[in-house]
Amino acid sequence: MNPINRRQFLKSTGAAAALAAVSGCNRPAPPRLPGRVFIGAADSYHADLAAVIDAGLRELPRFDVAGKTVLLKPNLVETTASDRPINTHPAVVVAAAESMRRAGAARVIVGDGPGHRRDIELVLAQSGLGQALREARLEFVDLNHDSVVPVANLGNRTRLRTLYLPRTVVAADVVVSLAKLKTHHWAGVTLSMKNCFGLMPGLVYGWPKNILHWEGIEQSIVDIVATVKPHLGIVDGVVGMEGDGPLMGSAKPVGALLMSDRLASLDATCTAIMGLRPERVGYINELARLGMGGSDLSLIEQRGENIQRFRTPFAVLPMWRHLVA
Amino acid sequence: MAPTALGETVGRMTAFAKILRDWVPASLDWLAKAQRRDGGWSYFADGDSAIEPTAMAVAALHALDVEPHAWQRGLEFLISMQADGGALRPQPSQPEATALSALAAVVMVRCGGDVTVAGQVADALKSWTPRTMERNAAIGNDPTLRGFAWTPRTFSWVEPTAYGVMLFDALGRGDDPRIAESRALLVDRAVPTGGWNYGNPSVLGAVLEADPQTSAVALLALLDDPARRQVGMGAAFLQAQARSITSALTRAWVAIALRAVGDETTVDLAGFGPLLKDGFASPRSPWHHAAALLAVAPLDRIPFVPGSPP
Repeated sequence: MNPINRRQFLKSTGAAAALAAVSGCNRPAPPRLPGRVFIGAADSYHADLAAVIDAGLRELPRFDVAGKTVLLKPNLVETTASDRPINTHPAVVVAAAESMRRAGAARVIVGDGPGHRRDIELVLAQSGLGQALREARLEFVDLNHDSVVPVANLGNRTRLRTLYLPRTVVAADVVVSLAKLKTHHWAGVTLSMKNCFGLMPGLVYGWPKNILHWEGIEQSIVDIVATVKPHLGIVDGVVGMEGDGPLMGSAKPVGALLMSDRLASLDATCTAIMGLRPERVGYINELARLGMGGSDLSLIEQRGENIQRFRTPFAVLPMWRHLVA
Repeated sequence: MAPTALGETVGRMTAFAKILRDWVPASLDWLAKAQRRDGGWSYFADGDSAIEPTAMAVAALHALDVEPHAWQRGLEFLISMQADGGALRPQPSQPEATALSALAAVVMVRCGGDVTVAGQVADALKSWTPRTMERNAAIGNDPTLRGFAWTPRTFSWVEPTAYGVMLFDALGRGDDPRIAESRALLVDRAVPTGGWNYGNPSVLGAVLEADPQTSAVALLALLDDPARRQVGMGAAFLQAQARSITSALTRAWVAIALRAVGDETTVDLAGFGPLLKDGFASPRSPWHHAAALLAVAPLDRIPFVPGSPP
């Protein structure tokens, strides 16, 4: 099967004319500018999170969803009997959807391919996201078990020449990474770009995305993000996770929602808030070089709240102490 | 029969009659209508056919002895998914085979399908020599053991290993050395508190939580020796979890595993009805409907239960 790009896929499905103006897997690389990152205050999940995201979108004029199909990709890794903040909080997912609708999105879909659990009904129920989606009348797609479309790997940091993406991801006009602010025992930090692992279908890559782990986590992050080119990242930093993330760490309240259309800049800002050095996170640097923003905070245009208000040191495992600022 | 036992039996029969009346006919009807033109079933109503939901649907219809034409077409779809190496592609849009082939091949063997193809699947999966590693303090298990991997050239994981064991057993090849090693891997990967996680019992010293679906399939693969400590602990974990499971799919696997160890009562089989009607994903999933129907079938006709007739 020959890889196709997003444009060829849309043409084959008869949607090219309607979606010709939409950027996607084959859109040109964004200019190599660090761009803007919006930091919004949100003390709790009961706050008006949609208003915070609305304010963020106003600061990101390049981001346009009018008339488009938007895929929101939360971090829905795992279910747990504990109250550890593993997943993007349902309130953030619903708020993002509400904000996209207010911005004129024609359709909002929520989708993820959890890395560990194969039964999406159980994950939706136990995470509370299912009930939240039902109340907000939002549809959900299990990306692990979606049909797949081969696309050329535009990152080329792994040996994989072709990536298989879920049909829903390829067909979406706009992809939004809705991540959680967490440390990660294999990647250092997991933010808007590491979250994109969940775009990759388990049916192809196994659980927990075995092929990608063997190809290298950092290299795979670069390949996925460079190929999918998510249009926006929103990081749930209302309550993050420190220590042995992404599953077994401890809750770390930060009280912020962060957003950018330059995912490397967003993740660099989040890393700095965690008291860590973004320039020491390999995949942030790599994707900055590929045009996804920058890792130098002095060049990133900060909007919204002052970053100093939210800086709080996150505990890290010993093997990640070199990231500590 | 003592009055108490008689009462329990009557109660169980009454409950089963209620199941048959309440949700089984509607679910069977929905599942039959969900079959796609190519003979397969999809994971969710708007998807393409795939081998896993097809295998579950074939198994359910065969076990309940209904819709013979439908499950025969399902078996033909499974065969049509055979890739060059012998294993099965998970779905038509995917060129590479995966270990879900083993699940499908078990159904081929137990439900009157092509045993030759099933044997080729077994050979192919065994040839994917999984990666191993030196023992490592960061990983809470023995990574030198080989079971079965989801895909070629990757590590062995619990669920594909369990399906691999089931397939070799179904083919009468349970004495293959890889199967003994696979069972050793499953024993090694058991979470200390009972049950199985998707892969490791712990990472960096932190014990991970067991998952009921994975635990159920692992337990079924270890029933060659029901006296194993891990079987008892796994069953106890499933019994503790059963009532809080709100997914028809996981609940079905848990019911099958517990029934296979002689526990016919913990999982309320009538409880599938509301899950299939009011759940978020289950109502539109042929996979979930099929699993639920299979869970209420006669135990000796469920292909994943050791000893079910070929």
